[in-house]
Amino acid sequence: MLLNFGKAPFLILLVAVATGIGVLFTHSRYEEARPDLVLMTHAKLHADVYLAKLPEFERKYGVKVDVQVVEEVALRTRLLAAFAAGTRVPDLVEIPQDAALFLRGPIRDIGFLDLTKWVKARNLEEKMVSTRFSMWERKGVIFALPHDVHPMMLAYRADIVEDQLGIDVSKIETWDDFVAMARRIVRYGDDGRPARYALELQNDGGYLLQSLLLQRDVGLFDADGNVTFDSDVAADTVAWAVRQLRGPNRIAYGLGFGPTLWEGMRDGLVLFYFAPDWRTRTIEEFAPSLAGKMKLMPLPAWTAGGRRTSTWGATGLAATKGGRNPELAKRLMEFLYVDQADGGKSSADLHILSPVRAAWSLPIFDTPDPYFRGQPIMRLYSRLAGDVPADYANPFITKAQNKRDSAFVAASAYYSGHGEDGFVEFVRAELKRQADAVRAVIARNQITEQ
Amino acid sequence: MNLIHVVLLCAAAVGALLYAVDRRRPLLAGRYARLIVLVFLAAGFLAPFAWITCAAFKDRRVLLEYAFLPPLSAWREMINLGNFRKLFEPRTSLQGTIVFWQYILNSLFLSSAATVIQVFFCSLGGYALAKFRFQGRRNLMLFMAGSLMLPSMLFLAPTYDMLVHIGWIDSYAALLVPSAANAFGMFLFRQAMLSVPNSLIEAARVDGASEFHIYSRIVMPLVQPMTAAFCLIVFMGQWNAFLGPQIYLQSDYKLTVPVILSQYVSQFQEEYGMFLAGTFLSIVPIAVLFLALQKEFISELTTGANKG
Amino acid sequence: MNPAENERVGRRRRSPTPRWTPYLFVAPYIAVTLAFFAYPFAHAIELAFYQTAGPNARVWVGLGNFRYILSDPDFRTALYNTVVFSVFGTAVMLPSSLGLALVLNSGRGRMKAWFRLFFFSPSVVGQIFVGIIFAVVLAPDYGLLNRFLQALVGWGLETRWLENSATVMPAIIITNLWLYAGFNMVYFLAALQNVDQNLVEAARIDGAGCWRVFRHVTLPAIKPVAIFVLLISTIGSFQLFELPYALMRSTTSPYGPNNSALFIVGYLYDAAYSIGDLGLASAVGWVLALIMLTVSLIQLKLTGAAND
Repeated sequence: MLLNFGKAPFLILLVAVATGIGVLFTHSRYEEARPDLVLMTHAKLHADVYLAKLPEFERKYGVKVDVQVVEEVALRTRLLAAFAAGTRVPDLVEIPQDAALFLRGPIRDIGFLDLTKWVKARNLEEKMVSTRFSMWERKGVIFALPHDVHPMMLAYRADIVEDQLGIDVSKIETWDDFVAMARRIVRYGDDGRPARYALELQNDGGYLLQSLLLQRDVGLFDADGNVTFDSDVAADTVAWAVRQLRGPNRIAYGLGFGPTLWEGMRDGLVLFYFAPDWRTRTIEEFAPSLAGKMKLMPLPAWTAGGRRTSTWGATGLAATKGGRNPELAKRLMEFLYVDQADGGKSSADLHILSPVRAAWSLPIFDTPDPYFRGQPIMRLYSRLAGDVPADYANPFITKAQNKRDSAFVAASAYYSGHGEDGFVEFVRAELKRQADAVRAVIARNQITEQ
Repeated sequence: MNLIHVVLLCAAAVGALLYAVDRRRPLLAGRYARLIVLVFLAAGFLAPFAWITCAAFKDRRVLLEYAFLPPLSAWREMINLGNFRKLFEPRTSLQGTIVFWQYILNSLFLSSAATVIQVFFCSLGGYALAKFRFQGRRNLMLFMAGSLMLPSMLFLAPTYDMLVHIGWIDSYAALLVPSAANAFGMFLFRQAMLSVPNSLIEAARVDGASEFHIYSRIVMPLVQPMTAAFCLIVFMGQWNAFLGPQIYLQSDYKLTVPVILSQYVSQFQEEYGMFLAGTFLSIVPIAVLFLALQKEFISELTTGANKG
Repeated sequence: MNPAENERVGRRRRSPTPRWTPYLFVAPYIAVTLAFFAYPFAHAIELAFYQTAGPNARVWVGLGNFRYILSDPDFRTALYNTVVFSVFGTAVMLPSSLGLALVLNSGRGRMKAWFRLFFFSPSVVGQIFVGIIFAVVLAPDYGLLNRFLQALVGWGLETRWLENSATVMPAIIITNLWLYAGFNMVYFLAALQNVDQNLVEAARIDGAGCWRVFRHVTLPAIKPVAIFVLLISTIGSFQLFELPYALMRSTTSPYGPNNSALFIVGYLYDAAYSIGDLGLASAVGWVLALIMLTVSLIQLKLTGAAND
């Protein structure tokens, strides 16, 4: 009878039966594994380091800990779903700052453990950079321990900038100095030689614009949750970035992220790159042929003597309410994030500076990095770490990013069409308009936030 | 002047030559011109496949350095199976270590099970719609047509909510049962079964055959091409499905190939090498199935459309 | 549809089969629909009148969600983009797939089958794969498309398809064309087989040129199929989501620069997963359903296909 349907469905039926047996068999095998604690992270690199560290913790407490890597968007959707459905959740979750949807709704409905008391009791706010807690704080409740400080520098092609062009970057103190230097070395590629730009910026605003804004203390929100990206300083910064990307004397170029970035870096299409500590690790991994050709310098300041760093990205470690052993989970948090029993080795391996202030003076950070021509890069970052600007949590952060970047793109279009004529006024008005749109969304959603 | 121009010029020259040689038969020249156009179009359509194949075997560090393949002299260091090796490295999860084979197995199971289930239930329903006149048939068909017009996204959240309540989250039932009998498939089978002669059915009934017997022994053998085409449609759809598995499945070991591959490329990860190697592998089963069934598929697709 | 034929079956039946047989055959569909459509359907209606946040919090807002959507400039952007995509996407899609079919149709035998296979092959790849792959293929400076353009016409190497609000839409349309032109071509190929060759010959003898033959003989013959393809591409266009979602996931603006790749379903997804309001998302879904129904009905009316 089965063949009455034809050969194709019959064969597919055979496949279904065979794979069905395979699925039943293999799946039952997985369900047996039950570790005491499970940590889920979006970063493969973090997981590798934790796996190396964990045996010590496991020996000390006689438990089994598992680390799982899940891509960020998937982690977000699945965890939200699990919170809603009450299905099994990992005990600990490493979440990036953008995953702010977890902070939506009334505080009591948030699926993460309230860590406020524990953090205060353990004196962690004093031990660590206190502003880094702000990224997972909602209405005074702390939901995660900060993983990093992420001070920012500029990474540059030293073989071209110094050896070939003979530029002394220590003379560059402000962005004005930088632009003046850059204008001498950029080529637009219309003279038959390949193009060369000085600075990496994103055509759609994005994280790099955000870093420039944060350097001037313009976050998307302030500590009280007010939208703040439409100030005059913000408009000035946006206008500056647009001019560098689109102006007649442009010095910046958008390489995007992913494979095109590494190709552009290798080809010397862009010479200076925004480099928070974590990105030096990525650069070493994806542009191995540039070993010994790159160096780091502090970010130029906006005014002489001003802040020479900024920040990009932030990860926190949160414990779930549905976890089986919250006390053990907290102990693991402290073990991974606060203790520096390994003398900062994991920090140095990841190229991620811990927010624990005491760790900054560890000798391991003096190790020269041959990739960056022997600069002790972690030491350079640690000198800037105290100066990193604060950034504040908000459930509507993705909406705000979208609106700010929309304003940036609109400003670029205006500048390409009209030039300087009425440009600054336009940027101001556009930022105001978009900030108001975010305010409207927040106001509309206030009723369910109570 | 580069390779592309040379190729184009050569093609034009060949065309002109043919035309000059055989002036009395311009149709022949026309045929060659048509062939050249077809070759170029086909090259355009196949270029991304060529790119995926090359990229899957390229060292990930030279992914974009060469449009397709590096020069032969550099093959030794740039062409390798590194991406595949990395793809098949065991990865840790909440429930233990998982190897990529598991996702292939899951995808194969989900796709083939969905196909078998849908072929059976949709053909059953299609038979009733094609060969019976019953109270409410017209309304049922109107309702089915209307349901095809509703955006599937609309039901994502409510369906999710429901699956939570009946405990089907993280279960394959959530992906297999709701679509087991669907309007689209029933319409396709109905269309094909309309052309089955009624006299055959009548004769069987006179002989006292049961309706299920008529369906399975008389009608289904006559619509085998449609069944084959529908198999391909369902299998392809489920094999490539992303949003449903991404949202309804939780445990890592239950995930499917597209869900796991999409995780390799994002803001925080850029494992294009692994992703492309996986994509390359994921095209293989579909390509095999497609090559085996393309004749039925294309002919059925076409008769369906002609009947409108 | 062919009611007459079914009527005949009904009348002639000597009724050895019980009356409930057809209901038994459609029972699986009705069961699945009642279980997995009725509740989500009702729930989606209910949700549309609430504002939600997190798993538990919800507040009745009446028609507030609909008022908000209609006044939100982002929704207008999404609607505008969706309409632009469906109009231009279809305007490019129909002639391209028909053109492919026409070029192929005059050929014969094995070669035709091969080219048909080549043009069709992209549609076996899932949207999620295509999106991520085309993000690289469309990349500035190093992407396959720009390298090709540069080699061919000496321009376009730096085109930032996905980072420029003006080029995002063409990029999506190109990708969509690559994916589905071959699929739609197959429909047209079949339709072309139905063109009466005697009529074509007669027209030729009367001295009609290629264009006039096409306009007065071919086109009327393939009109039903053209309407069918128009309808399915429009419905597909309004539900576009995975393709732009995957294309944009490696950039930092998931909905394109200045929301130039924000479509209605993307707006719905954003309401659910970035604002976290499932009520708003449901309301968007209903607005979309209404738009799709209206557009389909208008198309059927205008093309005069409603009475078929």
